[in-house]
Amino acid sequence: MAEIFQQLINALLLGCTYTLIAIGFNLFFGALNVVHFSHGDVCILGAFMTLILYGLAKLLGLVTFLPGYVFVPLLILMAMVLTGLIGTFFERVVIRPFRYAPLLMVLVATVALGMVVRETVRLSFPHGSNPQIFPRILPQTSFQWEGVLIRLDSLIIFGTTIFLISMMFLFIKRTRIGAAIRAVSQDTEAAAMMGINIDRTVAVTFLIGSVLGAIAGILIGAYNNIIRFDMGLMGGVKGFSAAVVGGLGNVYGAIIGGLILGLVETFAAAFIPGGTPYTDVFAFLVVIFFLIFKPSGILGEKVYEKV
Amino acid sequence: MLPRTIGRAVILLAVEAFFFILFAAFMKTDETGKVIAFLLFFIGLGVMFKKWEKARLTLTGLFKELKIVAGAGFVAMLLTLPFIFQASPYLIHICVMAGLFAILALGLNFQLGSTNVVNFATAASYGIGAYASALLAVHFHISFWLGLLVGGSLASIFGLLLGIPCMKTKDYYLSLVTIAFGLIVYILLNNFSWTGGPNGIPNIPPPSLFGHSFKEPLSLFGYQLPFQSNYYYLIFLLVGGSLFVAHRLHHSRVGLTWNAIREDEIAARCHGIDVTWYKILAFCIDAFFGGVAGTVYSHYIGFISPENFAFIVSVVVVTMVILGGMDNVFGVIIGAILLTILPEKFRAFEDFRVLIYGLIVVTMLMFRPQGLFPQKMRIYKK
Amino acid sequence: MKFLYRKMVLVLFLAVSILLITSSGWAQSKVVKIGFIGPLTGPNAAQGVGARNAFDLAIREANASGKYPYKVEMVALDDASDPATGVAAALKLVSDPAVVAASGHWNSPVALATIHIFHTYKIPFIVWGAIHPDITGFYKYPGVNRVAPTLIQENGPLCDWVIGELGYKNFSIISDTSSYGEMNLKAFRPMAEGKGAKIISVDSVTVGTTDFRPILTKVKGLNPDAVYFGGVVMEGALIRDQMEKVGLKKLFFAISGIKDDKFLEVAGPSGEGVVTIKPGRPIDKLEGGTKFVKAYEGAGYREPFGAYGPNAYDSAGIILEGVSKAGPDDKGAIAKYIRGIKYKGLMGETSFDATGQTTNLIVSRFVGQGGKWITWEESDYAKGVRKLPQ
Repeated sequence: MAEIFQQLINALLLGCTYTLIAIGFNLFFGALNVVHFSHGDVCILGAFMTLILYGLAKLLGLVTFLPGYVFVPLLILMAMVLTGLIGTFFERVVIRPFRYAPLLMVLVATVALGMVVRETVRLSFPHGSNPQIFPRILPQTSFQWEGVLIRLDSLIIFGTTIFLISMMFLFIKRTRIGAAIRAVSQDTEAAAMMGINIDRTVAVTFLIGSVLGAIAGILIGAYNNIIRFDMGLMGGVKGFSAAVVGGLGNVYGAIIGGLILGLVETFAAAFIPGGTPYTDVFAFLVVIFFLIFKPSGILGEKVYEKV
Repeated sequence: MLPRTIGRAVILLAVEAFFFILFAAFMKTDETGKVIAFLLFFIGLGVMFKKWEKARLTLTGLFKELKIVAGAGFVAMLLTLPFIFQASPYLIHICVMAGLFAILALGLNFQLGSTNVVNFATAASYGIGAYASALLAVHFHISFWLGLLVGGSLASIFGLLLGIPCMKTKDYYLSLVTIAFGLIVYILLNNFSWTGGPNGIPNIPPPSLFGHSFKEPLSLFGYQLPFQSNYYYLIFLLVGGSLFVAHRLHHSRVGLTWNAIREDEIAARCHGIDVTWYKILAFCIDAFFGGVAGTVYSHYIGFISPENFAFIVSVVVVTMVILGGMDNVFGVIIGAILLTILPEKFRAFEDFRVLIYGLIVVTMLMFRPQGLFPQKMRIYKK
Repeated sequence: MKFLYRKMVLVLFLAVSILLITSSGWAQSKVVKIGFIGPLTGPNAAQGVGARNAFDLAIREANASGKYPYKVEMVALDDASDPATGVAAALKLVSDPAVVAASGHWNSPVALATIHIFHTYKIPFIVWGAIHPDITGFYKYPGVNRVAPTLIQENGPLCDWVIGELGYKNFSIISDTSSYGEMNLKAFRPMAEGKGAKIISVDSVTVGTTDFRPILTKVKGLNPDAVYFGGVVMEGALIRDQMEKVGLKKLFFAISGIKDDKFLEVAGPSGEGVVTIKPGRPIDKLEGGTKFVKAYEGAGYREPFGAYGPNAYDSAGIILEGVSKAGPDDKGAIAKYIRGIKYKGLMGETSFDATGQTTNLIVSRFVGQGGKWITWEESDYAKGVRKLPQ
């Protein structure tokens, strides 16, 4: 029994990272009807940005000035903001020009953009093809509870995810910009006629999505103490899959989709004999199953095509 | 009239031969500096050709008037290539690889170019073809020629399977399915024990024709050509065949239907086009081409492992199609040739290869989405 | 005027093209070249670049010694750990008539794809890093030799040590799905069982996975004495670290794939008490080791020579001796000479058996202690000051 609980915790934490990435996909799809295929890479960029800033701070000798509990959060905050701005910049440069072009263009362009981001990260680190060590920023202590090992860093990751998701919901429900985002995602043209600045709203959406993604990347790095340039490819595909399973465009769907994928992968690895190398296969089969039998996902509405 | 035509034909062939020698010289260059000099020269040539209208019109007029002579001359020159590269199996190898990728790119073009269906699973059909024929050859001693058909057909069946989700989904969802499919095939090839797992399949027998094994050097007109020449001529035929099929398809109702789906899917559906069927058809044909290329590759190298069929291969083929010009069969082939030769010429910059692919795609889509060689409008004569 | 301008452009164009054509590789001059192929880019670049530098060092020393009547040149090509790229590189080497011999590859799949080319074109070839048994044992090409022990030759001593001397009996095996991991699994399992150990579980993990907690949680429930890992640095370090995190406090051991400083860096404090073996002796215990290190530093290479530097250095040495003894023109004679060589080099005396496999099979034992790999005999663990996890 304890083992199943332990595996549930593993699944939950994996699901948290997928959810945070998937929220980005849902936000973008809601706002622009666009899938930003390089979003996974932007997320992992968040972790690398932290490494870069850390390296810079060390170079400038700032580490010694500030105590760790001030310095680390500050660093992470800066990395988040920077990654958010980069995400917004990508929207401006690579996605906006294709707003009225065939869908294929933005699709291929964002896949290629992801490649550019990955390779740039790889080339800008010494031995960039190898994983980079991510500093152990979370406490490493743990305690036993009814035979289940609970680690403090897991609790922090879980808590952060819940906190961020609730903050985002509050932001979308309660603020003016949030209302604008909802309006744009429901009907872009009507929203424009109501005097909502579409470009600005879209930019804010990308900012929020990318910041959340950056946090996902940093949490992934802190969880495994390691970060590799090409994690964004799989991370993006999985995040997008989670969004699709939950219902693309529905922000709540991201949570359900992320958890489902986390559960499938963890339990496939743990309980199917010889299943460990096939975890990704199982995850993708679930996704393909959904695409064939319920393409709109669990919470998504059926979309009717209009002429 | 006749002497004039002969005169023009001679001029035409001279121009072709000149460019061919330039190309051969370029292939033989090895130093980065000289390669760059060549490239600058080619770009300058392109610009001059574009600016100098009279020359352009004369030349294109010449080519149009003597289409058969031009084509025959071109084919004849390509056939002499192994003689020119006789001392260097490496150069012939590059040509063979360029041909393989040309087939892959031609296949993908039916989807990405003609129908605007994004397929990131080219590597999967390439791999399925390669593994199918290799396994048959190694375990059951099935000949390469049969394996070519089986590999293509099996890949085609998987293409059909891959096409099924497109009954319900499209666009982003469909490309997610193709990415997932490509990754699944890679993972499975890597983990099944009967595919040799990560160790791959060694000792794949070379094809033989009329008792001549393709592993043996080719003796032609008293010349001893390296064994790669066998494959060069094979690939030459296959690319020619693919080109013919692609060209005919493009000008048939099927090609027209694909274009209709590309322009507006709903409108196409309203005109009674069975969109799903035509999309699945595109998947199948693409996969067949991929399977054929894979079969040739596996028998040519004699050893395959899953790394040959990773996601990056699909991205490379997508890049070739976009660079060459979507829906333009000749453009696509040039894209494939360019992106096979140039990385070999810039081996010193191997590290930047993938980055450059990414940049090529993004910039092409932004500034020249029609590719280097755009497809011309369809013109129908009365 | 315009007409004249056009004419000038045309003449210029023709002149440049003739210049380009004549300056291209239509003519070639004669030198003795020795090829080197390895992963110079990509995830294994550290191994490949270090080996290339050591290889280059050997050739530079040969040229400086003045014993060779011709100039020897190294042609270093990248295989990027990719079989297709490796094949192109190998073909490039055999296409160059000046190349008399070559050495290559850290990745077994690449080596398995290219040795046929070297065999077909009769170029003597020495594998410096790839350790798949088939490269020599299965094909037995007369011109292909290997200076690195196969992974079977590494797993044997490890088994003897961990089962026979340290007394661990119940193992969980985790291997990666690369060729390396799979071959390790195939080699280790029967060997361990033959020595009376029990294999409780076998799991394979994909290279590039970062979260191993589900498997390790499962393994923890089975309660093995020790975890054998068949794979390389990164996955190994992550598994070691996450073993601590899920509370699986058991012995972790593997063959030389994990013996890298990076492993201890990533594993952090959990790297303590990890045991492994490595072919050859540590560089400071080799005859001529200090001389090699000094020469390497003196030559001004930016990257460290890494774990396979000595292998590449000796490969170059063996090829050079073969070329000087058999002459640079007869490749068959070079291959014959190399097969029969008794070479006293950096790694000790190297000779090859009938399959081309090195007979130099010394291995050293290591244990992670205080963030460093310490030879077992000198460690606190052997002295009983620290204890391996039981």
